[in-house]
Amino acid sequence: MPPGSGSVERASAFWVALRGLALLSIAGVLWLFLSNTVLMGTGDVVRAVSSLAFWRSVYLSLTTSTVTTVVVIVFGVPAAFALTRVGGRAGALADNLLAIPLVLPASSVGLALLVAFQWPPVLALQDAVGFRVAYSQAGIVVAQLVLAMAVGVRAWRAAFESVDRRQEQVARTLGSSPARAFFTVILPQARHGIATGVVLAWTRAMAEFGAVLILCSAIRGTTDILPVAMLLDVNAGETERALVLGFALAVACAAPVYLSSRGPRGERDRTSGRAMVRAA
Amino acid sequence: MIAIESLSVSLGRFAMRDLSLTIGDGEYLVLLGPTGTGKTVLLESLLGLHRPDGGSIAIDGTDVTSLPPERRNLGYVPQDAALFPHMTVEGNLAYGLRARRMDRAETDARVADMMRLLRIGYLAGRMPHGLSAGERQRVALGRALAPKPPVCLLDEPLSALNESLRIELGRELARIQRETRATFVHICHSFDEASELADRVVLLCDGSVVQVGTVADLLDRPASEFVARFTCTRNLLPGCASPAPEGSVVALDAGPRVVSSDRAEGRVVVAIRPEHVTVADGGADGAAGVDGPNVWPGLVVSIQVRSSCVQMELDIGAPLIVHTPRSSADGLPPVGATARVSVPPSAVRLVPEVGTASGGTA
Repeated sequence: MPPGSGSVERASAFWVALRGLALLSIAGVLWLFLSNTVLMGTGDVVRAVSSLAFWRSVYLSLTTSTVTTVVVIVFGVPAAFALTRVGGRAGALADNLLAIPLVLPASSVGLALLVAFQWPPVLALQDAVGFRVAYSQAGIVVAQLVLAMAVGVRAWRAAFESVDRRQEQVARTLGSSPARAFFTVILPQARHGIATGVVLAWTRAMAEFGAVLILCSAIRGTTDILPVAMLLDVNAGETERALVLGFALAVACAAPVYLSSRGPRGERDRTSGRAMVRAA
Repeated sequence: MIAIESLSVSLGRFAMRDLSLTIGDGEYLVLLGPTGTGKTVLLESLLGLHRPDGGSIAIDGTDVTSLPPERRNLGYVPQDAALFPHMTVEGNLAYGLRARRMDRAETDARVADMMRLLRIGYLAGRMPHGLSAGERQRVALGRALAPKPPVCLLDEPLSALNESLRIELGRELARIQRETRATFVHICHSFDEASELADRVVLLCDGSVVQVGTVADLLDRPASEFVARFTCTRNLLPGCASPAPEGSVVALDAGPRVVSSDRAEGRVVVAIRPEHVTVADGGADGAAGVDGPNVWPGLVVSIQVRSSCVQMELDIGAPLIVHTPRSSADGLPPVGATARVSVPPSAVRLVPEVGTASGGTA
């Protein structure tokens, strides 16, 4: 029986207090949602969604976040698995390094990136290649990448760590190479956790603001992803339009999180839960 | 044949040093020892899961010391079975065959053979999470044996099972080993379990081999006090040995003198198995016929009826535990009576005292 489901537990002051706090949290979210909805009229929504700028921001956010997520998957999933095999001080060091972008303000990460990409040798390299990262759409991907990578790798590492190491060893003794053991035993079991990591990385990229603002600035028509467009609209006094953008962003971020967390019982396995907790 | 030569492995604070051992073809070898003595480390080193610091492992004359696990062709049954939870029982059994790129028809035939051998045909389409502990171990054994490895390594395969299931699966292991003619190396920490299965027992302590032999060797000729204790020799009495024409005479620290057919001199431990002690009614005077070597009057301190025997605790000047068959329990003296206690000198073993050199006994 889960805690609190029995009559004795339900009556205890402890569970009453816990339930009260949970209801307070839910009430806070509802208040936020309702107040914003009341302020935003139907006319504002129609006006916003019929503008080209709105769809350009949506398109820019979706494309940059998707490109970022693909890059994060390609590099992050193997890196996360490699990190599960690094023990001792090296493993702890890697863990701490990965956590730094998560604990720093995003604007600090953006500033660090701006300085790094404006460093003369790197600047010369960019000129040789033919484009500059700072103040460009490529810069949006770079800014999103740093934070999405940190979130993704932590989630995937947790997903891989939740798979019993003994099973990999058994697979090896049965004749599997390390790669075959990975693809046939570890990856299938970590799939839910990996999917959770993809969703977390994508939503982190979609919601990224501070680092993008510093590295790419807020340039209408060039770097105005949804969070940046909201800032530009608020600065221009178009609060209602900013609100519509905010709702679009909330829907884009919440939908995949919701979809990844539902599904038939049993599909939300331990790798998914651990990935979510670890990334958080 | 597996030949282990001077194997040294370090893992954290644990160290195995210069371990040498030969395992014959078709043998059922049990690696026995208390927890933390290196049984699993030795097994995992054989599998290639640990890189040894030194020494070598050869299988059928081929040095495999630096080979990865997938190239050693050894079966492995871990303690917790470690079945692949995302595959059916059939998928688990076929895993090693698919890894070897065996064709579909042969894989199916081999899986069917394994299910027949292990009597798990009814589990074919089931997922591992719904299986009982015994079923999981059978599937794990089938998975290990399906590729027909010449050697199968089992890490405490019976430890998670209840008593009746343990006995049943133990018999199954012995039958399967006979039928497959594979070499089985089985880890356990119970001497009873080892004695039910083993052709030969390797007793380990602190990363070293203490004694290798048959169950009878360990029971009748324990190499040390540790072996005697581990094989449930309940009577271990320290004393000082001196040579005698038929062997040795030991003056026990507790008082009585014990004659042994073993030859020893100096500090020793007298090891007497409880089933080798004979107890008879001491008569009206309390100790009728007390004469000859190793015959003492003994006070009956307690009597406990057990499933397999009657255990008596006697005081002969030193505490002595005696096991008597239940069938002959009727004539035993009651608690508080004085009994006539005897042990033949050939049943008295002298082993080195812990901390003394082993050269004292022969």
